[in-house]
Amino acid sequence: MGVLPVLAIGSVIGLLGVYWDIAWHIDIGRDTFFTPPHNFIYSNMLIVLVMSVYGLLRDRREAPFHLRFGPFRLHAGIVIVFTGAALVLFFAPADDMWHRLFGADITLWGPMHLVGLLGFTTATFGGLLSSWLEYMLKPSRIFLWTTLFFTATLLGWSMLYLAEFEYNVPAFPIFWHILLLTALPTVALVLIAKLYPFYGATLTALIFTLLRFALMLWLFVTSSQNLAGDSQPAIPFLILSGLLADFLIKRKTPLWLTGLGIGSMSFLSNLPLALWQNFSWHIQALWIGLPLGLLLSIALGYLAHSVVKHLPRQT
Amino acid sequence: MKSTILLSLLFLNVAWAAPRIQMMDMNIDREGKHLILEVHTEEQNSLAEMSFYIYQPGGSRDFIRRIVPASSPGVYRLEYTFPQDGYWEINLRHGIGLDRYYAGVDLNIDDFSQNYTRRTVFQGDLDTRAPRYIQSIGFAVFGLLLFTTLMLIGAILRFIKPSDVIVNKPVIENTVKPHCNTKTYLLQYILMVSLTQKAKYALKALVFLSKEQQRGPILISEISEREHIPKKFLESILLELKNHGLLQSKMGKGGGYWLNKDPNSIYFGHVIRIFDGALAPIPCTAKRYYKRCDECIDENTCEIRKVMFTVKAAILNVLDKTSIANTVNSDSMNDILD
Repeated sequence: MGVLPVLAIGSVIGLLGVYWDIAWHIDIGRDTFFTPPHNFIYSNMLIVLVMSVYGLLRDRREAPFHLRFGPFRLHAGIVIVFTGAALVLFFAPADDMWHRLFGADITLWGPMHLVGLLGFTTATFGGLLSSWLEYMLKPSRIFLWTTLFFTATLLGWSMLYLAEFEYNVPAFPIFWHILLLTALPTVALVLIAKLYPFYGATLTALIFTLLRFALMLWLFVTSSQNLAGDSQPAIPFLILSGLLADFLIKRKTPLWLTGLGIGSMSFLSNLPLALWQNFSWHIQALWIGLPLGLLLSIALGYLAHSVVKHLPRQT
Repeated sequence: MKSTILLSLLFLNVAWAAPRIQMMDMNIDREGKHLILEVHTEEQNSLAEMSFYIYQPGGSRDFIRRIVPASSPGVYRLEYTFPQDGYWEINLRHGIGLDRYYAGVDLNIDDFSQNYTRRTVFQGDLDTRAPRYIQSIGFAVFGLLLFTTLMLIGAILRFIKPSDVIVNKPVIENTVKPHCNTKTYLLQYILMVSLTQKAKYALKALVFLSKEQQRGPILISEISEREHIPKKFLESILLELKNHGLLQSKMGKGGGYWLNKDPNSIYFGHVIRIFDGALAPIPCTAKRYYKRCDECIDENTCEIRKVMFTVKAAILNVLDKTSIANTVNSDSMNDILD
């Protein structure tokens, strides 16, 4: 299906755009709605929306995973992509209004930003689902790779909630950084390790790391063109978490232990990075953030498992 | 609906706190280029932090960040050694999210040589062009959208339903002989085509453990010997049964395997699904393990599929009703087959 590669590129471009936008906010501020990063993000999402509508119209097969609305057949994954893209675009004016009312420098976790991030994350999950369903209908390598790619971008979007911490300008207490960095990678890693047992999580973590390096390069380029400042986010190190996820899932380790293990590994492998980047992970923050992060990691492991239970699989 | 409202209220609460203007006292204690900056705030939340952004002289926007937790309620202490003289600027940020306040301090390292105290006011980050409750409404809208999106995704996933594509290679057993009873013949025919060695050995081991249940833990070597199952192979099978909660084990002297469940509640169908997956004769008739046939034109009019649904129903009728305990009791077995 020709639509999927476009959606995959759209998801990555969205990720580049949002990180660029945050760098713009930190270093330049915010003058109008039509800043270069905003134009980049919203035109990209418009393309994603149009492509998802095109995909829905083009693919009306009598396939087992297509939703049935009377005489219509809708691709289940593309419906989710459409919902996410529509959410981002529909709330774009609300985001602008919010900035006009409450100022330029409100946090990433402001309500309209959260709606936008929800839209992006939903659209990416829709892309992942579409790829996987296509792979089930026709086991071709291209669909497998698009699935891995979408999972890596889903991991990227889930880590975006930490952007203020990665940019070293947090508006919330440090324990949130530890908590979310420990817990959030677990969803995507457990999901893909269960779907694709042949080093799926490791490959996903590798693709994610490559994407983040591409993002770093992108921010260098925009900075050199005076289209952003010099702020660069830290890159979380998740390859060991991916390896561990594959190992634990392959060994059929109990889910709670899998979540605990992946969470611990995400924390431990980023601890040297936190010390090197001077993230100020003080003791009080560790006492609160780490246990809660591990608990959330276990819960998210179960969440990923319950999603996988509803998906078709190869054994 | 109830949970939607609860979720929205939760997010509504995020921005409910009224804005506060924080006062702070700064005690600046300097020795050489070493600075001790102690900040006292009116708010005395022990979980609060103070962010210090230290900007270098010369208008550079590069900064060093230090985040300091309260050393005692309302007291934050920063120690920093300046690498050079000149005008240094320190920005302080305090508070959480939308309730975030900032203040700035300029220090000329060349000029001051004594300790002093300064009193200043934290400014709010949030513009006040709109009433603050609008923020709360924004969070409530986000809560509603989050809930609705999750519900939509959940509904779509429930529609898809699980379906495995089985690639396990069947082991053809020639030892199974057709029986005069039609249902038994059907069952034996299907098992002959699709039951793997692993599933068969698992069933044998379970039946054996059921018969010897009174004895407690039984060694692998004994099961292997009595049922003629290779020991290494049996180890992996029993481990898998244990992982699925059907068996329990104990190491060391007096150890071994025993049934973790009542043999009346362990059904053949369950065990075969663990090792071989679908019980359906062709994947498009499976419910949990559905897969459309590659060459299929229309499932609804496919004659083979219709027949295979009947076959599947007959298989399930036997395998999902036959427990390990039934095999021990021949009367109840006959009841099922008839």
